[in-house]
Amino acid sequence: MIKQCYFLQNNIRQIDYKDTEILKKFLNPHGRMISRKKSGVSAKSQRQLAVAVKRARFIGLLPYVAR
Amino acid sequence: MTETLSTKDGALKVYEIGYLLVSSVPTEKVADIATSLKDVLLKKPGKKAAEIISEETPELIELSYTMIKKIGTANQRFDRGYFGWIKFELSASEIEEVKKTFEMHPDMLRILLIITVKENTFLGKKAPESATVVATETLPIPGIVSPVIPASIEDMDKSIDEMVKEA
Repeated sequence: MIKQCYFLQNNIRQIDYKDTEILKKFLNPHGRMISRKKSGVSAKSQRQLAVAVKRARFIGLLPYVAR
Repeated sequence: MTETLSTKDGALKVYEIGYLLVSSVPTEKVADIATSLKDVLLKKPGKKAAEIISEETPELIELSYTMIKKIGTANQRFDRGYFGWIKFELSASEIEEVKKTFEMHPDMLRILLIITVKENTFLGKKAPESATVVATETLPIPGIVSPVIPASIEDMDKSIDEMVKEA
C-alpha cells in the first residue's frame, strides 16, 4: 500500500497556520507532530506543516503539549 | 519570532500579521481597536500606505494554553483572546516600524508577523474533510506465490469427471 500526500491530493500548495482543523489531523493526542512515515506527507509539505504548527502554537491556536 | 523580516531594499512584500488581543477588552471596543490597528498600515504620514489584501476582524477564541502578560507590576493570565489577522503588501523597509507599533499596543497579547503569498492560503471551513489515504493497485512481487483458493467438493468432482471422459 502506497500512501499519498494529503496536501498534494487536495491541491494545497501553502499550508496556513490558521487552518487548525487540517493541522490537527497531523498531531497525535499529545499534540506532537506525526512522522511523515506514518502520515504519508511529502517531504516538502512536512517542512511547511512543521512551520505552520509552530506558528499556530505560538499564537495559541494549538497546544505545545496536550493531556 | 524575532527573525529579521526586512531587507536592505524597499521592495514590496506580502506580509500577514496575526494578533491576539486580551480578553479583558469589552466586546464593543474590539472593532475600534481593529480599525485603529488597520489605520497603522493605511495612514502613514509621508510614506506610502500599505495595500490591504485580506483581513479578518478579531474574534474571541479559547486559547490552547494560558498566556501571561505583564500589566503594570502584576502578571495577568489569559485563557481566551480576540484573534484577528490582516494580510497586506508593504515596503520591506517599513515593516519593522509596523511591527513595533503593533507590539506596543496596550491591549496586545501576542503578534505573529510572517511573509506570505498574495493568493488566499486560508481554507477555513472549505478544508477537505478527512485525510484520505489512497491505496494503489498492489503489483505481484516476484518470489511470493499468491495463496491458492481451495475449490469446493462439487467443483473437484466435475473436474475429475472431465478428466475421466478425456481419458
